[in-house]
Amino acid sequence: MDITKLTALELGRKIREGKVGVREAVSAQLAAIEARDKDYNCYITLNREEALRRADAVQEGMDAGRYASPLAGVPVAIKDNICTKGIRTTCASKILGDFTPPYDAAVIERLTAAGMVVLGKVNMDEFAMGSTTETSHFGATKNPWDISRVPGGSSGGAAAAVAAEEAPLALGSDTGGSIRQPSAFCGVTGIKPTYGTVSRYGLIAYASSLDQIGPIGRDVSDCAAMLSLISGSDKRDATSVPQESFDFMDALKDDVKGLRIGIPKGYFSEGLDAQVGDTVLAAAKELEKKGALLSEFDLEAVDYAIPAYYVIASAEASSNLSRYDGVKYGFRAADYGDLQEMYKRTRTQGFGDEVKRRMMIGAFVLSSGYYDAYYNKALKVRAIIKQSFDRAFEKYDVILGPTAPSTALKLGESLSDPLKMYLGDIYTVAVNLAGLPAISLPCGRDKQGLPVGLQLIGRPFGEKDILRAAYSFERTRAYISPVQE
Amino acid sequence: MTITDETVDYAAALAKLSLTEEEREKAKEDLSRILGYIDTMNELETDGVLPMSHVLSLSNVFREDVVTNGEEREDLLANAPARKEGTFLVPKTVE
Repeated sequence: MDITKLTALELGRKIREGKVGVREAVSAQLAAIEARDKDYNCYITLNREEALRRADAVQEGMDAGRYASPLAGVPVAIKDNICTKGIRTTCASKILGDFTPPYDAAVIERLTAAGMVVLGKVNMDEFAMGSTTETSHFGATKNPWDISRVPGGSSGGAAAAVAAEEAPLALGSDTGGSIRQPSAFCGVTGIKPTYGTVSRYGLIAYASSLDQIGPIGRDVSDCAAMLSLISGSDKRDATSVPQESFDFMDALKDDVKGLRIGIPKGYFSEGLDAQVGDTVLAAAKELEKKGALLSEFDLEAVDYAIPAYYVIASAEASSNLSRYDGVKYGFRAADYGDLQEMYKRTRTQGFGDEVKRRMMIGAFVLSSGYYDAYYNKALKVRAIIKQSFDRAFEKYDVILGPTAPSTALKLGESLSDPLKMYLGDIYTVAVNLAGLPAISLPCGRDKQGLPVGLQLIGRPFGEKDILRAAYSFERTRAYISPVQE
Repeated sequence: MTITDETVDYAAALAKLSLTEEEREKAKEDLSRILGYIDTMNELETDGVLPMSHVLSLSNVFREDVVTNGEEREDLLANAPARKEGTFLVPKTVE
């Protein structure tokens, strides 16, 4: 038995049954990371000694019957914008230096209480700004399907680690597609929950009205288990929403009879790679065969999601990132005269190009004279997009489409052209603007053998609808791993 | 939207960044293209639409104003680039 090939729930079961020890599981995973990560560069910081020490503590707890979670003893990789007490957290930026958080994010508290073991912190685009993981200060992550290609982003390290079997499960964050698009590029499954489902306490902010933490795993069940674990209201995040139940496991049914699925026509027009379009439509047909009701419709105003997104996200980023000033934590420039010069030099030397670009766009669209024409206009466009989805969900339970317009791009292909990179987010950003839940799961491969992602979007707090559809589709095909022994 | 040198300098100043001559040229080009694309929003009629800054209809989430954390000074200062006598150290700001 190869421990690293098991899904998180399979591993959790074997640990509970005493067939695999927690230390054995963690050691096997660390060995896989050491053997492969020089090729893929998924991890920024490996939590080696502490993970082993913790494995022993969790084992003791399990032997004493202290953990009830199906994920107890399972190792997990954490995107490096989620604060982990005592483990360096960098946001893949030079400006955070060796910042070591004095507290855990709410999601870390929850998975720790459940007996999970943090393997380490995984790579991302700097401050989650990018779709390729190439803007990381710690170098690009490579796609395990083809190391000449990007893993997607910004949670590229998390998706690549799960695909490369360097972790059974990971936590990422999604502001405009950052969980779904890398999951699609790496052939794994990722969920962006409804805004307000998961506490953002301890998630280093990029665009606060759009950010959500979510799971990335090798199948739908693992993601549902992780989502059940991390969801729930938290006083420390005033935007987290109280719900009666966040138990998503009962949604895992192979049954889509009568499920109304809407397919936006505009998602299959120009700009979409033909092989991706065909593969996604074939997946829709599979769901139809199982009894789902498919129909095409016009999702109005969605063409304006990208411009509205880049205005809103950049505006919020310019405000959120003003806290990096070289005073309280992280990097400080070496030579400066007065305080203003210290701020400027620290920020100029500490941030990368894409982050600077978005902070400047954000400062500009919020500045007096441009606020109404850009920021306020984008908020109105956002309202119209939300209404457009609200109308669609009167008729449909799930909206189906591609996750990304293409399969994984070559390294360097979009880095030199920011606008081209932004356009790659066409199918994902509207979901964040409207605060909806969405899942990306593999639905086939193109002629080059690269994975294609299927995106299923639900109404607010409609996670169970998309999980049911995703689980039903997943039953029609076997998981394919890029790791061949 | 034409982006002038002044606009780029203004945005950089607001973001507290300094740009080299080369970076400024690149920023001018990038911002022109990106804002030019963003201008396509204007095709969408938004008269009478209320701006939506947030998707949740939450308002005024209150809590009691009580201290819940303990003495964390040392933990918080541990990450400071420079410190002095239990405080963050910065260049002199008042003569």
